[in-house]
Amino acid sequence: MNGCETLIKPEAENATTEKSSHNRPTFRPSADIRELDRAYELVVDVPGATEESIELTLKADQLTVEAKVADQAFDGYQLVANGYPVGDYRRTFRVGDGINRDGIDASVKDGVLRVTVPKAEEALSQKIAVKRVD
Amino acid sequence: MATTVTRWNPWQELEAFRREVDGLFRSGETGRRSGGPAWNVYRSEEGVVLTSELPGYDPDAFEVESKRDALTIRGRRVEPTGDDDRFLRRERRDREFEQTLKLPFVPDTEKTEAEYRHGILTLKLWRSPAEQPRKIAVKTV
Repeated sequence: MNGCETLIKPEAENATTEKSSHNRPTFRPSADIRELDRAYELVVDVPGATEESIELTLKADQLTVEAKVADQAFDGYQLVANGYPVGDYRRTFRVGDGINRDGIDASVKDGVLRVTVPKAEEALSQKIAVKRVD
Repeated sequence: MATTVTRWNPWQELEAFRREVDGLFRSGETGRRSGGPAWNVYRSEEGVVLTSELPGYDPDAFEVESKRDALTIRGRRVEPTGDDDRFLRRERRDREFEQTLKLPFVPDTEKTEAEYRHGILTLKLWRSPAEQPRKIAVKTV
C-alpha cells in the first residue's frame, strides 16, 4: 500500500441509505478516486442532481458531497412501476494535509460530479539533480 | 343462459395494468436479467413515460428502436482515463447495455420522444391512435 491513499479516501460508512428529514431516502453514491500527477480527482455519480442542487463542503479533513434531487412527476401520468427509488445523495471523503485546500474545483455534467483536489506544492514529488563530483 | 353481473372494481383494472407493466420487465430476450438498467414507469391513457438513471453516458451512443410493441434501448458509458492515471478507488463501472422492453401497446413511432438530462434518460411513448381508448356514444332508442 502506498501512503498516498490516505490523502483522500472515503470515510468508513456502513449504511448504504439513510432516511433524511423529509422522509425520502438519502443514498451513498458510487465514486471513483483517481490520482493524477498534480491532483486527485473524485468522480461521483449523482443522476438527477444539478449545479444548483449540489453542495460541497470542506470542514477540517472532511470533504462532504450533498446533492438534492427533485421528485419525478409527469402531468397526467401516474407512477405504475417503481424500478428504482428517487432520493438525495450524501457522502463524505477524508482528505489529508497534502492537498491545496483553496484550489478545489468541481463541475457536474450528465449526472456525474467531478471534483479536482490539487496536491499541495510541498506534497508534489520533485526531482533532485545529482551532481557529478570528480 | 345465465348472466353474471360483476361489480366494477377499479382496483382490479389497476392490477391488470400492473401485470401488463410487469410483463414489460419480464419479457424480451434481454430483459432485466441481462443486468439492463432499472426503469420507472408512468402511465396515462395516452401512453407511458419511462425513466432511468444513467449518469455519465455518451448521449450520442444512445439508440432507441421500436418495433411493434418491443422497445430496444442501447447505451454506452466509458470513463475517459489517461494512461498514467492511478485509481485509488473504483466503484463506477464502464457499461454497455442493450435491453429490450415489451410495451403494453404498439407506440406511435412518429411521436416517440427521448431526452437525456442530468444523467436521466426519459422516453415518452404514445399509444398509436388505433390503440387509444375510445368512448362509444350510446344512443337512446
